[in-house]
Amino acid sequence: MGISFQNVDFSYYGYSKRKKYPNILKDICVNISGQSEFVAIVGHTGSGKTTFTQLCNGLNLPTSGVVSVMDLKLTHKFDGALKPIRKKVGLVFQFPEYQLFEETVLKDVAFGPSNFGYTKEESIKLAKKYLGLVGLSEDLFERTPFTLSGGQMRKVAIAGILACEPDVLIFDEPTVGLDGKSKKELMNLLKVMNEEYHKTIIIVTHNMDVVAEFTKRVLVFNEGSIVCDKTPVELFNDSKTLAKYSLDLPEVSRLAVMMKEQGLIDFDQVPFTTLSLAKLLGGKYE
Amino acid sequence: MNKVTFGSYYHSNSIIHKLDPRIKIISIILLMVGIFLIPIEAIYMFFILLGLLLIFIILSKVPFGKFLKSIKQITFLLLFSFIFQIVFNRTGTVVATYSINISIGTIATGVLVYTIYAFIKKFVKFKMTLFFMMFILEIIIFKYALIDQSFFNYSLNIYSNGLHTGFYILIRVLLLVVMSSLLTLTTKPTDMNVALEYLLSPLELLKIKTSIFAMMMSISLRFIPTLFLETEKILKAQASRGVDFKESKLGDKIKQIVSLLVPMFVVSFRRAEDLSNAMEVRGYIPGAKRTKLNELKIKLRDILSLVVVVLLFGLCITSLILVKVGVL
Repeated sequence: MGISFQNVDFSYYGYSKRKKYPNILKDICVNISGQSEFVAIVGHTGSGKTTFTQLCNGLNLPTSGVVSVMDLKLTHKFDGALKPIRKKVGLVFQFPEYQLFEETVLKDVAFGPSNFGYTKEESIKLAKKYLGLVGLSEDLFERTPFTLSGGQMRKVAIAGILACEPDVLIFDEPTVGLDGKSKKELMNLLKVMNEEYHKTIIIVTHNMDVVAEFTKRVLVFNEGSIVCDKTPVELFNDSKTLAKYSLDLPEVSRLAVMMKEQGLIDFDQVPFTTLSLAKLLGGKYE
Repeated sequence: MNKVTFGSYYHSNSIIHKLDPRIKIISIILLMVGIFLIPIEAIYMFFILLGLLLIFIILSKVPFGKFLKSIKQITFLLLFSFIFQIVFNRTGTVVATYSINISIGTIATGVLVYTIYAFIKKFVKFKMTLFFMMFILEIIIFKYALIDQSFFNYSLNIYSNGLHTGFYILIRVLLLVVMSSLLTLTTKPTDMNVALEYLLSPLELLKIKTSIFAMMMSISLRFIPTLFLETEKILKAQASRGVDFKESKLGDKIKQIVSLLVPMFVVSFRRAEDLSNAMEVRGYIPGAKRTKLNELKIKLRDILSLVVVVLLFGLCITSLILVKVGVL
């Protein structure tokens, strides 16, 4: 179970025996379990992060190598049904609000499950459940999605994927363009999905605070290869890797380091989350 | 994402590319009218034009295959009109006679040949060539391989005028296609647009704002690739919600197309609104006088090429007059 990549290459020009095209992804080998993982993908723009996420649910097929998703092996020759994979691996695109199209919010969220073979009643039930979970109030259920605010639209779009009940959830920069409150709500939702529903969550992000605070594993992409696969704490302690791929420390850690330089506080281990900094400062923050 | 290319423009730095697009458009129009003026009796005029066109093609440094590609698109039309003329035009003298014998034996072999073709075509790349080879084989079978008693006999007479007219139409269409693809291959869509704006500017006298139409044209050309990318994105987003155009029933398919169309409209309207605001912020007023970044200037080479084209046009008219008067 889970997603595993074995020597995967990918190029947008497709598979060709004769010609060698430049690869977007080169020799990717990684295993992600189908349960309770929380993975962050970081890296520069154009390093292949989005392409990687699209390989995970069969939107792109590898040019060479094998992507195994939930017992199904995807190669460049794969010609079978991809629907079962999409049912297991849900992908939330960047700016998912553009995918809304139905007359009402409820119908739009129920569109996913009904595509995956649930009956109308089941779909509506699932839609209601997940709309509640993302925190959309019930009086908005019958509204047209296009009259909602940006943050609400994103919630609806995310509920649309959650309602398909996939085991693995992939988010491509979920917090971009959201205000502080919505950001926090969204990340807490992901935490709940991960901890209580035991879903594997993969997020593509540039926000190191999110990485430090929520995720358990980080994949660093650089020019199409995975150059680092560690826990966030290991990564942030590895200043060489950080400098090499010009990754930042979380804001909190930068603040702590600055305070140490000014002689305000002292520590051996740099705090990476708000909570650990608060503990360091007060010692009694709960 | 380099799949999305629009138009057939082939970049090069030749004389033909450097010519003023206005001159190019005028020349093409003149030559096209000229081609239609040439009467069937003066068919040799086509060879003069064809030779000149070949020189233009070599000058333009565009690979020959590009032209063949545009010819390939109309192969069916060309063949159809040619065969139509040969079969149905029955004036002049009989040039050749083909007798076709239809019997159970020949039909059976015909079917056999077709089955072999249908079987082989999966494995080979040159399908068109294979088809023609099989076609010729079948003609030979129908003509000679009379195995059993023929129950129907049809003889096809080919007349000289049919051959003549068929050839006349064939070369005329061929010239038109090669000529227009010479224009599109060597002129950027944007340049073409600017040139059209100039050429249509006399319409301003009739209170038609051609500059607005030109702006509309250039914006739509600019946004075709962008909207392609946007469609691809939405298609993928809906695919992760279980939309599958391959495997679903018709009723579901309609709903799934709606799930693609509605977001497309939303995105394009948003883009249009943003763009119009951005244009207004930068001082664009519809129909107001604007200066141009790249002012088109007529150079010596433009005048020279126009003179050549006008001479050719004159030649076409002369051939028409000479034929009408009865000299030729």
